[in-house]
Amino acid sequence: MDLLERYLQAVRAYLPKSQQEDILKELGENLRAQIEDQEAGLGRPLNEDEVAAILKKHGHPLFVASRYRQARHLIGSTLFPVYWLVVKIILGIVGFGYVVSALVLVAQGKSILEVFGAIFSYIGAVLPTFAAVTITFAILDIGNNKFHLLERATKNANETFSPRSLPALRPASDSPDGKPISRSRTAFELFWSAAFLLWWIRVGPIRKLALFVVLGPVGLADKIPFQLGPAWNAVYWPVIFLSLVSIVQQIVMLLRPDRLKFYSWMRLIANGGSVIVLYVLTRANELFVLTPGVADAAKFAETLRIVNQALHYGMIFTAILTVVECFKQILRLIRIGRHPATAASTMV
Amino acid sequence: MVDLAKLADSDLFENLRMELRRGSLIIAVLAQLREEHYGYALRKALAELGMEIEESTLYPLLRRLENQGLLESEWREEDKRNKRFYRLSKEGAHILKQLLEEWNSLNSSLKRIV
Repeated sequence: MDLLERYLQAVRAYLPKSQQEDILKELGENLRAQIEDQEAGLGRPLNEDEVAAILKKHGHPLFVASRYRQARHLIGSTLFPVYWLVVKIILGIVGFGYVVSALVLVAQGKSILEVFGAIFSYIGAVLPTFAAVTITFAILDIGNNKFHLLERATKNANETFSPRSLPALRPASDSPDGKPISRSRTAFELFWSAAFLLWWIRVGPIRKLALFVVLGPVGLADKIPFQLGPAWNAVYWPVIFLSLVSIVQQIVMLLRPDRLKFYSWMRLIANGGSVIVLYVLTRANELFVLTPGVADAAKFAETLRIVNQALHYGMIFTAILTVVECFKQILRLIRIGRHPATAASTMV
Repeated sequence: MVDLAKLADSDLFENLRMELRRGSLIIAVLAQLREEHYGYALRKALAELGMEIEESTLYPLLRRLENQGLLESEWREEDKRNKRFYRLSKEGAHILKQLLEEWNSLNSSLKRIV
C-alpha cells in the first residue's frame, strides 16, 4: 500500500488546505475498496504493478485534485465584457496620446529619431497600463463575488429595459459587408479633416505635420525641393468649403447617427464637390513645382515629372471612384425616401 | 503522420459528448442514491447498469452535490473500514423529480425532432 500512500501524498499537495484531510480520507477509502475488490476477484493480493495500474487509471494527482477545486478565474464571465471594453478604450486613449505627442514633436520640427522614439515608447506604456486595468478588475471581481454588487445593481435591469431606448442604427459603411460605421472611425476621420483644414488655411506648424503624414520622413527635411503649383490656388475656397462640409457631416455622425438623410446629402455634396475639384486639378500641367532657389534644380526635374504624372493619374482614378460613390449616395437617398425605417446599417 | 482534421474532429466529439453526458450523469447519480452507497460501490453499481463514470469525476461530483444540499452523507464502519455513505436528501429527491420530468420532456421532443 506504499504506492497508494505516496499517491495520496501527491494529491494532497494540490488540494485546498481546509479540505485536505476530508478529501484524502474518502479518496483513500475508495481506492482501497477498489484494490480489495480486485484482490477478492483474483484471490490474491495485488502486486505493485497492478496497484500502479489502478492509480494510473485514476489519473495524475494534479488533475485529480483540480476536480475538487472550484473553477477559478481572474475575471469572471460577468465582468469580462466590461473589462475588455475598458482595456480597449484605455489602450486606445494611451495610444492616441502617444500619436498626438509624436505629431506635436513633428510640428515642432524635432528629429525623426525623437518622433519614432515617442511612438515606440507606447509599447513600454502598454504593459503597465494593461496590468493596472487587469488588477483593478480582478479586485472588482472579488468584491462582486463576495457582495454580489453587479447582481444588485442590475437587479431590475430586465424589468426596466425598454427596446425603444436602444441607440439608433448607425449608417452603413461603404465596405461590401455594409457594417455600421463605428464612432471611433468617425472621430478619427474628424481629427484628420480638421488637421487638413488647418494645414490648408496655412496654420503654421500644421503644414509641416501634414507634409509628414503625406510624405513620411521626407516631409521633415528642412528644405523640400517641391511645393504646390499655382493650380491649387483655383481650388482654395472650394477645398475649404468641402472640408467644412465633411467636418459638419462627421460631427453630426458622432452626435446624431440617426440623421441618415442629412448624412447622405452631406456625403453627396462632399463627393460631388470633390469630383469637380479633382477635374480642375487634373487639367493643370504641374501640380507640384520646384521650390524657388532650390539647389540642383536639374537633378529634381525628372523626379518632379514622375510625381506630377503619378498624381495626375491618381486623381483621375480617385475621381472615377468618387463618381461611383456619388451614385451609391443617390441610391441610398432614394431608398431612404422609400423605406425610411430600414435605411440604416442594413443597407449597403 | 497525424491527421489534424481527424484529431480536431475527435476532440470536438469528445467535448460535445462530455457536455451531453454531464447533466445525465447527475440524474443517474441522484437516482442511484435513492439507495445508500459509498463512492466505489456507487461507481460499480452504475457501471453494472451501463453507466461508466471515471472515479476522478464521480468522487468530486458527490461532494459537490452534497454541498448543494442534494445529498446527505455519513461516515460509518463497514467490513471493519470507515466509509462515507451518501444518500439522496429530501431536497435532492424533489430536484430529481423535476429533473426527470425535464429529461423525459426533452427526450420525447428530441425523438420527434431527430
